[in-house]
Amino acid sequence: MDMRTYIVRKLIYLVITFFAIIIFNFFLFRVLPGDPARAFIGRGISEDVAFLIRDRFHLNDPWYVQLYYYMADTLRLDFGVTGSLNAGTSIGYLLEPRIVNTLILVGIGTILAIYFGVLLGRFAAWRRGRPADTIGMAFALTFYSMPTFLFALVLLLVFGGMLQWFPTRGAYGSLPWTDIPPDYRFMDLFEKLVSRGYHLVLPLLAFTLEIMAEFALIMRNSLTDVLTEDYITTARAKGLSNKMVLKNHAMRNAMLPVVTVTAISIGWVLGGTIMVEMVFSYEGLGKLTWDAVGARDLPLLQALFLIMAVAVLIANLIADIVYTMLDPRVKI
Amino acid sequence: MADIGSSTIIGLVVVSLIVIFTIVRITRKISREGALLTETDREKLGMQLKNLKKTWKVFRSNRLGFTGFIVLAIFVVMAIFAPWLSTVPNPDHYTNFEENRFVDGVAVLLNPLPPSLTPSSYTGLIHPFGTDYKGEDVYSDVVYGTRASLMVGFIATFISIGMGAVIGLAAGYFGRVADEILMRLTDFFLVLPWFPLMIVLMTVLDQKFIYVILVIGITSWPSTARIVRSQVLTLKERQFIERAKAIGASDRHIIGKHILPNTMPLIFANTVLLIAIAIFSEAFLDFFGLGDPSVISWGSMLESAYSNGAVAQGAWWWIIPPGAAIIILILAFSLVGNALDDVLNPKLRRR
Repeated sequence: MDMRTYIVRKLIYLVITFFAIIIFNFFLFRVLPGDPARAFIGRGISEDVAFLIRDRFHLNDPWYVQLYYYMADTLRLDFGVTGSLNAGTSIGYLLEPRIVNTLILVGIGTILAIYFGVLLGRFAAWRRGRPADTIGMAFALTFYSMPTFLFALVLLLVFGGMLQWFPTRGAYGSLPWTDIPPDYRFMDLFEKLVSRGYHLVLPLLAFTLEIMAEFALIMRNSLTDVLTEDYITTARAKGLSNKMVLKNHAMRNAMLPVVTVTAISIGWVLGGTIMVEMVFSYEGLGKLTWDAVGARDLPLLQALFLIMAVAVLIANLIADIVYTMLDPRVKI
Repeated sequence: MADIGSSTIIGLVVVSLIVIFTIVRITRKISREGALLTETDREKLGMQLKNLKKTWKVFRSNRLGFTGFIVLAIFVVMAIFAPWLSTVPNPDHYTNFEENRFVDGVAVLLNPLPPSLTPSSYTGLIHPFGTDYKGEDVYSDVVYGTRASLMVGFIATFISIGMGAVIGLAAGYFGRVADEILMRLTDFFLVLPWFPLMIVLMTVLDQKFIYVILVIGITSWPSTARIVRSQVLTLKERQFIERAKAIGASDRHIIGKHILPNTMPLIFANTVLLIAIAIFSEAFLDFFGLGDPSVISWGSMLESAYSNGAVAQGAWWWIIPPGAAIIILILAFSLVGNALDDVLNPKLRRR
């Protein structure tokens, strides 16, 4: 199968799943009893007003008409307004800055985690059975077993609460070492970057170490498997140096499971983001989810769930494509 | 504790179903063969026992797995004997608020109390891990929290394994349309991010312990379904299935006698790993503020520590014990799961 058919097929599958997710999301929130108009406005409104509000949100129509409106609005990226958290705010307006914040955290964190995770796994696999391997894997296994929110909490306790080296909340804010801390809005670009970086240290550390552990474990297992293959022995027999064997023969094959697991664990990554953002009050999608749950704001939660599901879908597609490009057996 | 009650009811229903099932089997067997234990049964049992002994020996030789097993045993004992092991008979209702004494007419807030082995001057009780802001003994809460974690771990995994095994078996064995439909469904649920899905479901439902278990159970089945299906697919091509079909065995017989027993090891090893994930999820939901507030659990302890300013007060004793308990329990399950994987699925045994 050539690459183009493969990608086209994946894309068709992606579109079908996308619509399935929209429909699923629509029904997921309709199992809840109660009148949304009442929940939106509160009690004590007259029947006429309630009718008008219901009419405004198409709630008087049968469910399939509502589904049509929901799909049409979603495709136009119109997520409606919030229910109880700052009632009536446009959800799109709320989401925008938070998506940026989350992408900064997840993007940098994932790249760091893959890089160092692969490095650690390679280090351990190459020294299999020696103390360095045991220590490295014990370290990885501990982090793997530790819920992200727990590690984040411990970091917050030690570096935020006890030592007070880093801020305990927010994605940006004033800097403590300046004489008169200026408001974030009035900072120049450099100061803004410093402020963001300073606030990012702890969340990024928590996120990266957690995700890294998984990559390290998989990398180690996959590489120890590959290193016992015959072609590695052949490569050694040819007189190649250790570095060459590892770089040109072992790593490329050992990377494949890492890519697969990346695709599977994107859901986990998302969970990690939610926990880290919540603990550090880092204003991203995860923190917004927490706020939405706290306020029982269902429209906002619905939009958030959709965005996260679609993000996972796209990430899966990218992982699939990367896999086919890496796999030496799939030559086009 | 009303909701621990409802899950006890589920447990009772499950147990009584198993009992009824066993009784029916025994009576059918006796009516068919005239005795409960025939000679062939005895031989079979002896073989199985020998196999079990061998498995146990291999498992014991896996040092990490065995350590995990001992740790698990300790946790189970802790859960069963919680009332005798804790310093406070009922940590949910007991508080140490007497510690908020007046010093020169000013209320001095002494809670959370740091850990100490000297008995509190007022109640005479020891708080080895200190107390939280309400004066609840952290040590007793940790001991009681074992119950919630293990209960969620076992029951939720039972649900998820049941669903996953049935769907995987059906898809793998019947193939074609059933396979296509069921696997598309599985893929769909596999692609849904399940942390957000759990959050949404818990928000929509009431905050009851039983729902926590159900939500975790019904969101974690797709991976099991996939594993079971692939195993069934390879089994289906094996000779002994073909032979069974040739002598005219029914689908029910083939699934029950040949396919299921051969997928069991895989399912079992997967179960233990899923329990770890279920415990993780429960702690996460509790920490997110979506757990049952009336149930003592490690996740809700951490949640109350987080939202009541343990960080600002530097109250490490309020965070470390439940946190360490979660890590140790999950680690133990992962170790046992990996060891079982090695023992029961020797084909996958690592080189």
